[in-house]
Amino acid sequence: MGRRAGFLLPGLPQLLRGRVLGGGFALFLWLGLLTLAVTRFDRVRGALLGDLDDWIALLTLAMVLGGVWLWSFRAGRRSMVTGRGSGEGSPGALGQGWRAFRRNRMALLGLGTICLFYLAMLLTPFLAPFEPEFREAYEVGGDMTRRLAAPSSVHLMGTDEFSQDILSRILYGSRISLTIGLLAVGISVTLGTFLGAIAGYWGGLVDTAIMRLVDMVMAFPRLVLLIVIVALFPTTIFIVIVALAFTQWPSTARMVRGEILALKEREFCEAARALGFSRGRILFRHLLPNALGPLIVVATLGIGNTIVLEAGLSFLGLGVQAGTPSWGSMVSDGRDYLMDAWWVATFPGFAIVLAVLAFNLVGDGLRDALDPRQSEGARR
Amino acid sequence: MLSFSLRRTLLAIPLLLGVATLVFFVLSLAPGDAASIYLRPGMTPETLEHIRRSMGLDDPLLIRYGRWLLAFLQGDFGYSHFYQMPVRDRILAALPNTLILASGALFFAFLIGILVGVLQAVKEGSFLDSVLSGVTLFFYSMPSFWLALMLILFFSLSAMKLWNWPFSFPVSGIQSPGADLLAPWDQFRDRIHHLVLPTLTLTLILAGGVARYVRTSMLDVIRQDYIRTARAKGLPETRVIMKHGLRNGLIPVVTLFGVYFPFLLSGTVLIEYVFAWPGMGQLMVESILRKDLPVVLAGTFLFGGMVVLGNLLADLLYGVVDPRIRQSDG
Amino acid sequence: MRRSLSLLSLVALSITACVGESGDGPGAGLGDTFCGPALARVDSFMATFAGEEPTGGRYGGMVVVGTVADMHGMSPRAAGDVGSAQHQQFVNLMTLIEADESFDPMPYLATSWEVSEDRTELTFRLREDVYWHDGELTTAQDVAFTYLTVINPASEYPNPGFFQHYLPGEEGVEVVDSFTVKFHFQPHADILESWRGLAILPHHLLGDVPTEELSTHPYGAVCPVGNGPFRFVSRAPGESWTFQANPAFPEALGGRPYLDRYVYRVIPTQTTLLAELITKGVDVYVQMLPNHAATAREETGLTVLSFPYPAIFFVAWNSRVPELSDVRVRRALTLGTNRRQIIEGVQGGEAVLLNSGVPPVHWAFDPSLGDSLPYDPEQARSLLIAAGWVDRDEDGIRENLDGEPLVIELIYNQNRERQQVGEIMRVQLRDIGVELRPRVMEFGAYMSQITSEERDFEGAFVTFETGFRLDDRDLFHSDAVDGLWAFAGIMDPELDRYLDTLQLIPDRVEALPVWRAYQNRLLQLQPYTFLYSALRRDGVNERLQDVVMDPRGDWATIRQWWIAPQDRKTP
Repeated sequence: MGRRAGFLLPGLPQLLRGRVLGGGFALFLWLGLLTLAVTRFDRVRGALLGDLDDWIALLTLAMVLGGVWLWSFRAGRRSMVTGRGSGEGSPGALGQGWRAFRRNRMALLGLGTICLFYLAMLLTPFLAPFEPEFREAYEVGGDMTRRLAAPSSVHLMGTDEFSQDILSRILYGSRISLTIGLLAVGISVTLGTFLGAIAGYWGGLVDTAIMRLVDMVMAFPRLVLLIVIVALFPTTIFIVIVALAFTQWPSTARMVRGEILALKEREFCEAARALGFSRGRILFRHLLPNALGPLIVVATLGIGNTIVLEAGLSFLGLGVQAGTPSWGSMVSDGRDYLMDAWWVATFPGFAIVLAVLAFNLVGDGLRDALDPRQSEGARR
Repeated sequence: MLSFSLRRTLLAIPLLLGVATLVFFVLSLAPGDAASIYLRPGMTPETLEHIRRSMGLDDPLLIRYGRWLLAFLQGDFGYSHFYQMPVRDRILAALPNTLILASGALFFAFLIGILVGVLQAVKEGSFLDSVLSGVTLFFYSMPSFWLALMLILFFSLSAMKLWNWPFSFPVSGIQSPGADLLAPWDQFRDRIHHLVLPTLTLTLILAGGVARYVRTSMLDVIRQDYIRTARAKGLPETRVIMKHGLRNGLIPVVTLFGVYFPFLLSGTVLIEYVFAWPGMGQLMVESILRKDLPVVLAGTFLFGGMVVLGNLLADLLYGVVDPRIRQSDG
Repeated sequence: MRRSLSLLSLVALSITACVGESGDGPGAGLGDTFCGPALARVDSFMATFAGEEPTGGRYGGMVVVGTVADMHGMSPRAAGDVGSAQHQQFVNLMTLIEADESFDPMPYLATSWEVSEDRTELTFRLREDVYWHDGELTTAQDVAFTYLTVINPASEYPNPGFFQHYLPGEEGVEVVDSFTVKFHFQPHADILESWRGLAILPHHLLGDVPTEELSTHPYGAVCPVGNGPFRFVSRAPGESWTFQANPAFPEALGGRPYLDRYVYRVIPTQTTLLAELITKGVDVYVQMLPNHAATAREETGLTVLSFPYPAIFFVAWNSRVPELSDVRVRRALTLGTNRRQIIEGVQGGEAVLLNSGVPPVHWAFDPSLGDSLPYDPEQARSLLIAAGWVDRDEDGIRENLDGEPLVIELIYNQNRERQQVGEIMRVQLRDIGVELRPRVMEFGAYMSQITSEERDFEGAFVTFETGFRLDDRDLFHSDAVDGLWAFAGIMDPELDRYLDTLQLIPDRVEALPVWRAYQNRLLQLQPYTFLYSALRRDGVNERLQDVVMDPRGDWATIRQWWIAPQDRKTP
């Protein structure tokens, strides 16, 4: 029964067994994407001849549809074999964490939201009702009243002063906002982990040097440095990302150093040393994996903060080049219309809040699951 | 402990100079001529040359740097070409405004944050806890400038036009024009009135972070053995929480205060921008855009100094509230 | 809890400390040696009028004007920014002459003037009852001092070109007696126009200051002492300037202004400024955004005054760049830009389309010119084909014979209007196969790029506040092609001839045909794509009466503004 149901509709076997959240999400995702593929069939077909964005979207669509189905199918079959859905996976720290995380409803909701956001980002070419720069009013013979049009069935979130569709721009803007967060945090966490681990493990002069550098960057008023870099130098997305990353790594470095210092004293490390493993091997194979939990938490919470920070820069009129949609710049552009066209600034603002909220929910959930004692630092 | 902290603080001075040096070179190497900001149609090259000279831009970079460093070490922050006044005076005009705004917001944020956090920890797992968690996280996730704009819409415009509230809060500035003609008490009230919206914005956003932190650290304590012992002894719950829980649970919050301390100067940038609050944040943004190098350098030094001071403060406070540290370190 | 209590008292303490501090004014402690005594003298002179001032009726009340940017102040250097220039002319200082509604010269500080027969001398006769706010009389000495200061590049005065025909140095000016001053120059067209913009400075306060130090002297931004209708009271940098009515202002010029107080407030976010206007926190919102004007018009108790302003907005094409050296390409760019639609979209229709650098408020403006070069993508396309630009690889962008695409970078500084126009032009020009790449730059870098010798740009948005005295030689004359302002870098003997002639014909009727010919030649050469001259919009609270806004400036009529007693509010 479960097998057949899984074959027919992904998520159904889980739903039937009472796992409402997972099954419901799978079902919702699968049906939603299927609907999208059918209603926008011409675009999906057109994507075969399209550019890289279209291909990515196509690939995403196919993989998610197939993936969800496969997952549901296999989960259904396994449950038939074993009778129970659990018992899979390694009992390692991360595996235990995931099980703890799965019990946290709010965190799962956040994770789902994040998945949807990124999915929407990847599928933008199929999802967006309009091109991001489709300016109805300024096309030949255009109608100027299409500018600052209130939300309607055509433009779900209204239009801005160029008559561009806000919903489409939020979708296209997610590329910048979500990517900037991910990349900047990726770079900063990598850099911070590397330096922090070296400082913590080697100690001595290396430690002192790295920690002085950390102090120096920490003493830097972050927003000031960002404004200097972004305002005075020709801005590209690359510069914004690098600037964000290079002002963020010290907190990671500090945390990793502390973790390593603590782990260094533990038995398993002594054992590894006794076995004559090289320093590099001990550090990267034994110590760092054990510090992974708090790292993931820091990274997740960091993405949210970075999105807010980028929005702040854009709000000051800095940040990514004008014309390229990003949530922050959309709020900034829309604030002049706050009183006569509230939708221009409001919806991108909601997008920011929602995305950051989701990341923070997941971060909280991860912290509770992986590392209940980890306390959070301050923002900014 | 004290000597360690002092040593760290002394070490911080070259560090801060390093930070300012970096800013000096980054700003000086930015494309474009700082003097060209003052170019106006019809100006002659000779005039431009004079502007450059009076801004001290006609010397090579290293000489300019040496001159700045020498003056800076003697306590001379230089001259702001944009505001046409010594940097010291310009900063002294902005500093109190930011301090008032930020200290008020910090105070309320810690007050509300601690209250909410403790309440949540005591009622862990209850409906109230979930709701408060959601609310604090919501504000914690919100871009401050966005909240500021929304508050202006609600508390000033809508309050006045849609709902006919008998009052609305001023949306910009630190006082009403002409407030200097009022009686001292009314002047004071006028200032408080102007503080409401910006302080509210900052408080809402900060309190979320504080509450989350307090909740975690209180929960840590409540799960400890001695609390259980106290409960087992049959002490009333409020007493357990107030006497044993709060005391130990709030210790880490002291470090949080150290972390938030630099915020007194540098945390209000975007809020000042929206509420036309003539403080350090607005000054710094304006000066960076005008390439008013001496102001930016002095500001950076001050901001950085606050971070160092904050660390020192955290160290010291921690020693005060938690004697164990003092002993083990001393 | 005890700790938090002490924190609270700390906050309260710092608030009260600041309240106490504001009483001294920010001038206290700044430039003590100069400002302290100077402002003290102002106070004691003003105290002599106590009780004598007219009261009742229209006299009294306070007005707050809100803008997005702080003023530089009253030094000659500051005259480059619009707010400061107007405060120098109309509020704190005085000019020799002012303009009436039809822009004809009117006596102000000067009662009369005389141009010699051969047009080489100009004699001003000054009022004898104008006092500096510290009690000193304004004399011919002040005028001569001001003139000598501003022609010295060290003063950083932005418009030395006003006096380029004058005899060099001290030969150009002659103090005849205490209230008569005479200037010597080569004959030229607009003799009086320059004197409308130049505010006279106090010689008795600044005479000893070396000109090089004037731009850093506290007089300009910390404690200006003027002679105009309003005296300086205090300034909180980045926040506000406060002025008070000058009771000593000459009766013949209207005497003491009606307003007791006038405050210039800085509110950097325009949305906040609009909110302040609506909630009656400010009385005037200077230079409104078009959509804010629409919002304010719907509010009760507010009016929006829109008026033409002598400013022009254009795209300068750098003809030194190979693609743009071809006049056909530049013409095609203009023809391919739907400027009427831009005016509609960006300015809400409130702008005048331009085809030359003569703004609509100038007497030589030719309205018929606006119909030239209308939006014509078809013609633009054929011009581009004729110039050798054809879309050879069918990607929508034209290429030349070498296969290089027609890509033009357009630079501008961060500014909503420019960003909007740039984005619209990009869409429009793509239609004729040109790829326009708008690029935002920081203001200093942008200015450097368009004025430096390298001229490392292709197209640039430029806004010029032209004023009423037009002299385009530094823009288009061959002699100035290496100067700061020759963005386009065109050299054309015919244009040179017109430009030279225009500066020498005093008679407007005689000059008009030359202006026409000049503008037609510009039309042919298309060094710029002229866009428009936008109306300036000021939102005004209706409690403020007799506010007239016209091209002379937002503050030109501030002496007449008044508030009925029942509308005055105590702050």
